[in-house]
Amino acid sequence: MKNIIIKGARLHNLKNIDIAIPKNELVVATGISGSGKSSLVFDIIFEEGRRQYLQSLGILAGIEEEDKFDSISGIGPTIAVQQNIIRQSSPRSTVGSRTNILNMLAVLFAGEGRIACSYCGTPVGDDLTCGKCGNIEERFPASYFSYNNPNGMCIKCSGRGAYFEIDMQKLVPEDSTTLQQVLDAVGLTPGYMRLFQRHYFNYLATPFYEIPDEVKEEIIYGHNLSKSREKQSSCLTKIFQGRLHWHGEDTSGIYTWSVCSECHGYRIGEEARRVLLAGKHIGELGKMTIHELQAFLDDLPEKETLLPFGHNLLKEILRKTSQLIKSRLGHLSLYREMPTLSGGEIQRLFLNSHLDSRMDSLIYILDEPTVGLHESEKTELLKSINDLKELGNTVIVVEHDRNVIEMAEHIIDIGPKAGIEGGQVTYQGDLKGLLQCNESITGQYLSGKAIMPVRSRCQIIGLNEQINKKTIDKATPCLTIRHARTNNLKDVTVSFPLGVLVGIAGVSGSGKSSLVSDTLVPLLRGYFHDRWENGRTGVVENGNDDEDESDESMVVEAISDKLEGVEHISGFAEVSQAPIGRNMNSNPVSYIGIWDKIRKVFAAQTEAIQQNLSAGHFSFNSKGACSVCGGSGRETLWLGGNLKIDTICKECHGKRFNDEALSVRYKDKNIFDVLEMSVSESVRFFADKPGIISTLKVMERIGMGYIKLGQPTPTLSGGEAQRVKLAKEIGKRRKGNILYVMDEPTTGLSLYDTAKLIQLLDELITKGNSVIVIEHDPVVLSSCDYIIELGPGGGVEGGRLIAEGSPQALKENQKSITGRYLQ
Amino acid sequence: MKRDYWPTEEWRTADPASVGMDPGKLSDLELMVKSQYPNINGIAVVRSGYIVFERYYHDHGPLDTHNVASVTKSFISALIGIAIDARLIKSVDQKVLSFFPEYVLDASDIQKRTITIRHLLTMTAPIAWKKEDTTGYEPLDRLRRQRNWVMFIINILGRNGQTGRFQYSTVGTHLLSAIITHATGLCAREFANERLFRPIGINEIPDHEMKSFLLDDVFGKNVSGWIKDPQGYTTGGWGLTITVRDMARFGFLYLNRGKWEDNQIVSKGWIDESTAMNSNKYGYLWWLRDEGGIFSYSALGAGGNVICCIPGKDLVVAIASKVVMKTRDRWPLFEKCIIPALIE
Ligand SMILES: Nc1ncnc2c1ncn2[C@@H]1O[C@H](COP(=O)(O)OP(=O)(O)O)[C@@H](O)[C@H]1O
Ligand SMILES: [Mg+2]
Ligand SMILES: [Zn+2]
Ligand SMILES: [Zn+2]
Ligand SMILES: [Zn+2]
Repeated sequence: MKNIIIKGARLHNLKNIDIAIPKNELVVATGISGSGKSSLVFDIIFEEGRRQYLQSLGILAGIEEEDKFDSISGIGPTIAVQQNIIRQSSPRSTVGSRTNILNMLAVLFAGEGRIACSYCGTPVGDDLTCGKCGNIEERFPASYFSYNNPNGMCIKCSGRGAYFEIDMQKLVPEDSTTLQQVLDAVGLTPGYMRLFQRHYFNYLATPFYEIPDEVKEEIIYGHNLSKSREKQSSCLTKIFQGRLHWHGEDTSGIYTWSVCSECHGYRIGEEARRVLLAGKHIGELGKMTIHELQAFLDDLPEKETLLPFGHNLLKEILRKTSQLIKSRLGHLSLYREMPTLSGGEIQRLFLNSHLDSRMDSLIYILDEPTVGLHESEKTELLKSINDLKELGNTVIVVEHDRNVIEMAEHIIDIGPKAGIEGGQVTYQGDLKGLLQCNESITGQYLSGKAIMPVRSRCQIIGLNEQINKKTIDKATPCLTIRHARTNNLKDVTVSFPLGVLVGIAGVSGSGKSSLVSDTLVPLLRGYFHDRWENGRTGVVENGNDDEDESDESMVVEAISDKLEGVEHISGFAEVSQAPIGRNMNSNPVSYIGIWDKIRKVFAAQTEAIQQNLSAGHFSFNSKGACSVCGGSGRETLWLGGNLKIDTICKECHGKRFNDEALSVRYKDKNIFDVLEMSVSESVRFFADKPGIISTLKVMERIGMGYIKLGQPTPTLSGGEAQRVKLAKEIGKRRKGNILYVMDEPTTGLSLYDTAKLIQLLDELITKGNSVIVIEHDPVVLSSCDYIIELGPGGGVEGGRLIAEGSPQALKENQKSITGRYLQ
Repeated sequence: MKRDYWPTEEWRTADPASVGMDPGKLSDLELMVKSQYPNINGIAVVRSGYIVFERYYHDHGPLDTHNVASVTKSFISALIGIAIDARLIKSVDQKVLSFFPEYVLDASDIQKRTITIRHLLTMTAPIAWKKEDTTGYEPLDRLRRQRNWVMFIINILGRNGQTGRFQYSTVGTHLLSAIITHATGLCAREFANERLFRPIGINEIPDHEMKSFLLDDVFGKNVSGWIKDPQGYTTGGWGLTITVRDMARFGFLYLNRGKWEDNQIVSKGWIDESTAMNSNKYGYLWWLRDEGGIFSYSALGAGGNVICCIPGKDLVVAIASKVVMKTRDRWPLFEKCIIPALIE
């Protein structure tokens, strides 16, 4: 069969569409955000491929199917990488474990490493006897070199290289500090304060250090609530974790994520740290960039005499590292945690491993593989994608990038707009046709018939620039970082002009994130933290505080002399692409903080008052939950091993609520109907409730009107998560003079949506704020007032400031790599 | 219970029928062991104080000692009880760290500080590596390679806020052995010789020099006597070698609620506390079982080493097995042969 043929697709917003998708071709699915691409490609094609595969193994018999389409044919084994799914993988999973290179290195160290004597540190000879003290060492099996193995992990941090720590000095500054004073310092919400006061009534006036150890432990660490799961009772640790999670806030420096004092971030135990190859242990290799690792391993045979087995293994490892470098991943380290990778890096890692396996006749589905790539880097990626197809596979790419669309053999445009205004096939065919298609918004933007917005007040500024307009001078307020050396930064001193739109450009791995997310933001946080001590927001009190995972991420130490000019801004907001949470109970409305308000509206209805229902009865996390599925709306069937399948709850049919909660109506809608509404619908529905719709309106304006109020946050893409955060920040309506910091806000945005984003950023600036964006998109960069470009390469070859100035200045600057792509 | 003799010097044997056991069912037991339990080296069934069934396999005999792996833990449990009875240890609620003043604590080591002897006895102390998201097995091979085992164990103790949750751990039991030494001034082996083995006729175990701490010396074929760690602490979680008849003596002591001849070796209270049923089905280093109206408590070790006591039936069964990775569950022997052999 030459086509995948789908008839009557009607999932989510899809309008009963019929479509034939050619196989063994490079297919690009595009369309504005929320038009239905993902629903078609991931939720139908991928899920069906997976389902058919499981069925062929005989494990899926008799499971009810959701009504997604009438028929589908021509489908085969399907492999997909969705950004949000990988982002949720365990932080224990790293580039090195995922590519298996760390395991191979472990075998190499086990067989060939030089052991240092555990008594005196002298390297032992081939007979494993210490020449100095006579101690006899034993070789270690490969498991001792793996941070994921109990034998190999550092026992202090269990192999994470870092941990959360309560600074007791800060929590209990004086011997006389009482429990009540400790609780005050932590800044509990009133609800938690009451809970703790009730629980520890007898100790409130007791100096903390005189409280019995058991009680202290209970206050700080809590106890296990159920036998099997790691669920804790209410305790300070849990509150701190919740805060970090929900507000990304470093909790007054009391609870901090710090590098392990035992292994210094190398993750492995004392044993493995004593085993060296060319003077380095495996943890040091894990922290190198793949570029550096490759260079180190290349020299290894000269420095160590390896056995033939070791030689072959080394060759195989080198083959893998050069593959990764070819896929533009050389700037990553083996210890880099999967959830911290950008969407594009994940896609490339995935592509890399599949090109490595050389399988054919599969259907591959890629989700925006160009994210995070500089224009100059895309060619190689496009080549890899093409190679995958040339092996005899079908490759379907969901993408907005012009380069990818232009390379496609077949383009599917879903639209015309988002949500209920989308869900149709607006165009199918080659590029030429797309450009001429008047119905396709994508085609319109690509052909230039629709034009990008012009900034309302573009300021031309530049350091030492000759161009006629306004020049930056001593009077222009700036934030200045001096001598930044974080990660690969090479003593960078740079000024970010304020009150304008600043773009940070550079190839991947050049140091953009090191400069902005790892240096500027921590410095800002440190500065504002001290001043905001008392104005902190508390944790979300009900429903969501039992979030079981916290936003742990790798810590890097911000190294720089100082930050100047902070006095020019009154605050800052970092809007990252990190997932909002892994909790399927969290959704956009709970995240932006209006869920309580909506439930109160329901609790105020006569029917609710008559039945004595409080706001809590309208929560699927608590009293309102369906009793069969406990509010998840799903039932999980375990098929043995790690294999599981989710089906819809038979009791509530996926509605999550019990009948009591569903019986109450407001303007003829029940609480479930409200969660099913899109943001745009809800803005009309709650028109008379300004407190509810202010942030929703912002979401609508940044192209998120299509998102459903109840869509679980883990199902949002990185770009969507970022835009929800952005909306929340803007919704706070702080007085101007805020610095907004964003990492690739165009992720997941079509040209149409990018246009909206630029308008929004422009508005922020007009209102007197400042914006710094890390960005690759030439359209956005061209709209910036000022661009700071790092480079020239990635990893060790990067970390320098190579150009700065207005887009015009960069175009004329020979040293700039970005300049030539600007419009 | 009134006894007509005590097996301090020698065990007496009896005709099964004379003490209420069906000889036919016991020959089924013999068949079953031979056909399905190839790694059993010796087995003895004691009813009402008399051996009614005793067999050895693979060239073993009644005088041979066997490495009984984690069965060792239940001996440590008895020794802790004896030390508490003698007021050498205050109570099971005494803090573990109070015995190791040389260990320097961080201010944030609150969890470690709260761990008590009871937590170690009931396997409810938190240990670092056992997390849901990692392959959680105990790194015993790693322990073996340490220069100071006790320090290593204290380091991995109490890190993840899980105090009170059942988490079987061999290394925790080793700390109990070190506690016995700190409390009594004797290593657990010496303390056992004096207070437990000599009074009930178990062969006393002399000191053995550890030649090295290679795999075979610590877990394998070179284990003999009762091994010790590099600091001289007797291993607490495994490492005892003992005859089948001595295993039965230990079980018999428990059946008699700690009384032997005219002496109370272990207090009744300790034995009752150690074997009281609970939701974890685990007492003080004893596995508890209540099935088909029959309550039993057992010392269990890798490979299928067992001392099983069924107080309601005045029955002790001792099984010595070669320590291998995968073994067949021993319970069917009880279910199909031993329990059906009981005649009321
Ligand atoms: N898991 C989901 N549950 C409910 N609605 C969803 C879900 N995923 C997507 N949708 C809705 O389906 C529509 C199409 O979304 P999507 O397929 O993600 O579009 P695109 O990929 O083009 O951005 C939107 O209205 C969106 O809100
Ligand atoms: Mg999408
Ligand atoms: Zn030495
Ligand atoms: Zn560590
Ligand atoms: Zn349900």
